[in-house]
Amino acid sequence: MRFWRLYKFRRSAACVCFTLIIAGISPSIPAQTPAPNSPGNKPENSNVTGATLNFAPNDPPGEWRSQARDYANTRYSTLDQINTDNVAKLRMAWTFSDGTLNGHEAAPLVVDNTMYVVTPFPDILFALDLTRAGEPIKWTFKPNPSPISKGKACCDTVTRGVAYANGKLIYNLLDDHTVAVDAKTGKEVWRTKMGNVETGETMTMAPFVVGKKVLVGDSGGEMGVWGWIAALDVDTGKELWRAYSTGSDKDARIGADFKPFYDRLKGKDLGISTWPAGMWKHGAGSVWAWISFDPSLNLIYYGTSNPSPRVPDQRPGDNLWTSTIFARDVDSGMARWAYQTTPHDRWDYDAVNEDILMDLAINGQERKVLVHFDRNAYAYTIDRATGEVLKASPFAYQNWSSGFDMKTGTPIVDPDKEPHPNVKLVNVCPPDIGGKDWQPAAASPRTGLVYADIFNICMDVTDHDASYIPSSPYDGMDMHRYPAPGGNLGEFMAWNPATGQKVWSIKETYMTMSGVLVTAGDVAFYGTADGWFRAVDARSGKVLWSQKLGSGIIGQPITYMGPDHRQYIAISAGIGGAATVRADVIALRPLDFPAGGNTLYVFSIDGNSMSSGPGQLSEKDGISETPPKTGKSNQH
Amino acid sequence: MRVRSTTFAIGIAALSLLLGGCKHSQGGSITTQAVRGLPSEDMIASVPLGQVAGEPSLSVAALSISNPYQGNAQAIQQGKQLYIRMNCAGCHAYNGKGNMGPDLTDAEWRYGGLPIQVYKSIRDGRPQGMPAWGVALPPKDIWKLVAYIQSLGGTVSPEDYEHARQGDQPGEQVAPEAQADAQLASPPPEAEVSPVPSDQPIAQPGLAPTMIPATHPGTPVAPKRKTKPAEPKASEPQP
Amino acid sequence: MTPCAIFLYVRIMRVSGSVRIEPPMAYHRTFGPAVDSITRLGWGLGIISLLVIIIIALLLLGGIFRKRGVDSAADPRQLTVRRDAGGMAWIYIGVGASSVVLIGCMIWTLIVTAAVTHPPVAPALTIQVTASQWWWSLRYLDDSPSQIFTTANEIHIPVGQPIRFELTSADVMHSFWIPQLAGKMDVIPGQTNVMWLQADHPGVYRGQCAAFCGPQHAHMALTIVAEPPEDFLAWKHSQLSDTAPPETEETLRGAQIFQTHCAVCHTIRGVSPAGLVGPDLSHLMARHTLAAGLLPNTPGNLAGWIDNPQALKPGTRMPNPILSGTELTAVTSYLNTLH
Repeated sequence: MRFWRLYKFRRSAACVCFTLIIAGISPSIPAQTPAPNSPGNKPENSNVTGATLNFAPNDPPGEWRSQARDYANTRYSTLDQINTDNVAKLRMAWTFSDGTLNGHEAAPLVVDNTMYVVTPFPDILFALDLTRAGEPIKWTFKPNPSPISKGKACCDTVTRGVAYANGKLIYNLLDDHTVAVDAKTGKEVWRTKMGNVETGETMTMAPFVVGKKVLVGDSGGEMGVWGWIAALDVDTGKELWRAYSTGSDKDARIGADFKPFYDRLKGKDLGISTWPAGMWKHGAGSVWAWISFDPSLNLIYYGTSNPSPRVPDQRPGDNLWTSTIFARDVDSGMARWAYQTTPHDRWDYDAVNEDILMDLAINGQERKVLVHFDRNAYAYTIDRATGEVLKASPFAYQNWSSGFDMKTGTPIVDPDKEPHPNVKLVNVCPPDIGGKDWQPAAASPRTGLVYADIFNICMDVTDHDASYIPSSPYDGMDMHRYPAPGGNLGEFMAWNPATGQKVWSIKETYMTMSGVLVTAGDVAFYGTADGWFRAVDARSGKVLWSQKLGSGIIGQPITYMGPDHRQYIAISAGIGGAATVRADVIALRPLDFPAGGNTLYVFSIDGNSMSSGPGQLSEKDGISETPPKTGKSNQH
Repeated sequence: MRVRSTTFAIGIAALSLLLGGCKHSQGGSITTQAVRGLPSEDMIASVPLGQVAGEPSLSVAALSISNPYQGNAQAIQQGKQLYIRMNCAGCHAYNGKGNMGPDLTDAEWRYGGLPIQVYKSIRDGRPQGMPAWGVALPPKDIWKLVAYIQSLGGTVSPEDYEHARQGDQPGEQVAPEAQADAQLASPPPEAEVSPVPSDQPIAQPGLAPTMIPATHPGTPVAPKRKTKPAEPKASEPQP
Repeated sequence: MTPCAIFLYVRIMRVSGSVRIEPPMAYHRTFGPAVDSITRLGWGLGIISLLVIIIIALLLLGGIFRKRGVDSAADPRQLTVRRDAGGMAWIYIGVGASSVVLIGCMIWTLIVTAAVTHPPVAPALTIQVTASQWWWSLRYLDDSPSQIFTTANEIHIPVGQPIRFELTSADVMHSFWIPQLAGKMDVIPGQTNVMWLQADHPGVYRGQCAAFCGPQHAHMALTIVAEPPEDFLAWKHSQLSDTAPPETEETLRGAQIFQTHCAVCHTIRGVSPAGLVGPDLSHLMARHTLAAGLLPNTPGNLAGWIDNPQALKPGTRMPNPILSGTELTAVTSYLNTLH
């Protein structure tokens, strides 16, 4: 007995001593970019690349006000209540099912203790009151988009999210309207018609707000639309400027300030002369994914889609300005530089993927760059002031290109991988959806790395000459997709943008088509197409936690601080999108899980929240404005 | 004498061959003839989209119109060409399994799977994005398209339509074949840290084109590195 | 007539400049370097063959009617051995002469075929021809992509320059044949055959599909219009430019009817890229014929064709459209504005 008590004392004393020793010897050098609320107890060389990120417009850390988190598209959160030590204790806190069934690609926004959830068609917007148990719906906005749009969306009737600006939630409806909704009341403030859905044009991208402007673009690279990006006034919805992706320099808003880095992009009216007569009018180049912004240069960065039709032999020429990354002045819309990632795009590679802005040292020189994982399987590090390609290396399996010519900034195309009408071309990698599609990556200033969900897929393709019949697809690609060597369809990776190399990766059997979230807790989150949501150590790549959700995950995870001062992780599950829509086209083992799901999952440590726990919880329970000072309440 | 009778015999043989040739099934180059005439516009107009009010189980004669080109191999081939050239394949996929438009090979038909109903869907269009082709394509071409769709296996047979309407159809087992992949149930693999691969050259600006091997810059053969021991932190949420 | 005289005759006719020949498919006279030497070869071999026939016929006749020498019927048991005058010499001379002529012809043939395989200079213009049942789609290629355009059935080329053709078929085998300018070249689905030709004199040359390809094979004609380079450039420029939009009420209505009834198969450049199933109708009024040479291009013929193509060209892929009388008039008047 005595011995036992002594033993216990010694054990606890040993624990205390041990703890003190460990605490004492662990270095306490702060991280390179100290973020607010961060203890910063990581070793000095933790930032592998020395990259720094600009978090303008510096939204409150506990909120999530835009899809990409900030202008630079970092998708990085400074919250670290959830970190590598405790992330394994994440449990479901509450869920919300929105009643629709198509691909859920959007992230919810959290502003002022309200969560805004948007659904795929019919694009319903919910406001959830986070201060009340059960997160009851404050209001619901039903925009009533035209049902014709359901038959015009190539890759499911999705929306990639809403934007918040000035007390309004702004988003695009599938039928080419941009609407603004009052965040408090849910009433429509303005609605602007941006295109005609009957021609086959739709809108699926999340608007991007810079100051008093909201930037939107169209979808329809498979429908022979005329691609464009436009700026609207945040308060009135009035169109301020529109820049097309093909056509004359006037249409494309190219003027005297336009200084592309590479010679093949210099010339007059290249948006017409690089197309056979008249074909530029239906050449697409739609703007359907992400936009970033550099406040110091006043430039927005975005990419345009593939050219139309998807049969390259019908449109000889470089087909500018499709599959092109643009830098434009946000106020005037005039182009500053452009870089075409895949000239005369033969495989529908687009260039729409996000451009993550960071500053880092390349070959000893500090550069302001953008990091872009293109669908063509090349990862680019591009000087964002000039458009010069600093690094270009494959991040996924590809065989369409035998190399990259850094002098001219063009990939070298393997002629055997060029499709021609009525000829079956076998084993072209990556397929049209690319080495990585629109699913956005995230960057961490603590590790200096970029994290992305990528694909490992190839295709067999046969082209058929396509007629342009308005409102029907202007397409012609007959494809069958299957896994590339390795057998896995998906992969989650950490990438070093300074050296252009993969640092570590996790292979997944199914496609990994979710957005990525990385936090100051050094945890990165991603999801798979069969419904696994995972948390990973951002430094080592070790999987710390996994949770199977109700449906595949193609949405974007976010994190926020609830009114109860708990950090939550939110992710929508609902498979769809390009991952399952074309059942003939992808050997996704499509019958392993049903297409369609619609649940928003919110996780917290131990699942603690107002909305779960013993006792009869109800909506009447909630968080008052100032939380009680001492502990016992009906929260846990 | 012998010569004349031989000539006569040859003449008869040639004539019969010629006449026999007339009944021969038309070559692909000649307009494919329908076995019988195409259904009249009045018959087609009498096909309701929904049930007949007041008598929901009424059998409507027009619903049992069958496709005059059904089973006609040339018509199916021409229908397939039209399917590609009129961009049907762009929305419904080259094998009919669906994309922007629904699957045409399964038994699920929002507007009815009978040949006459499919015909009307093509001819008149439908609200969720299906264009109306009746103006551009003559009835013959639309029936040929229907014949092609019928050949994909999903449509409802006119003889069967009452059962189909009332749901008297067998279900389908769509489960996958035997899953040899036990991996689906197992926990995810450990991430393996890969060092910078020494065989992958890094493209340098300013030099001559650098050939980057088009191989999968893939994982790893490096030994796993242990993560640092976790440091304890105060991590409870504040009340 | 000696071969020389024939050659002289041909030369004189060519120099005189007139090139319109009746019947238009006659190929005994040609007008381009791709075939001129072949024509000469053809004539030459023909004449040689004729001479050979004549010589052999004469020899044979000579042999038949030659007076026989004295025949001694004296001794029936004795075999009559006749040794004709000349004996083996005839054989040596015959074989020798034949060999020389044949080898000469062979060398001549080889020289000619080698000469016509490649154009004398690199062709400045390439035209992609896609044959369908029963019309020809033509795509003019250019280094500058915006100068690439498509037309149908009527090929314009500049005079005096070699033109390269890339031939393929969209359905069955056809054959590309303009007798006065080139030999036949088969047009095979799934394969691209390349040939060249050159027109040395301006004019309109008729061509024809030369491989049976279905019931309207006989009505699958081609026209090549060879014109001076300035005229060709003017034509090309007009093809590349957009047609003026319709202005009158009737032509506007016609344009609308065209969009709904016809545009799924036919493209009019400048309106929008559209169907590829049927011939490109851009600048339709600039063409001499309709329906691949079947009808002269007149408003009446155009209306008749649109109204009932099956009656004029049974089995053609164009269905009889469902147009009322006024709709037909509107469409025809619209098409008549496409200069």
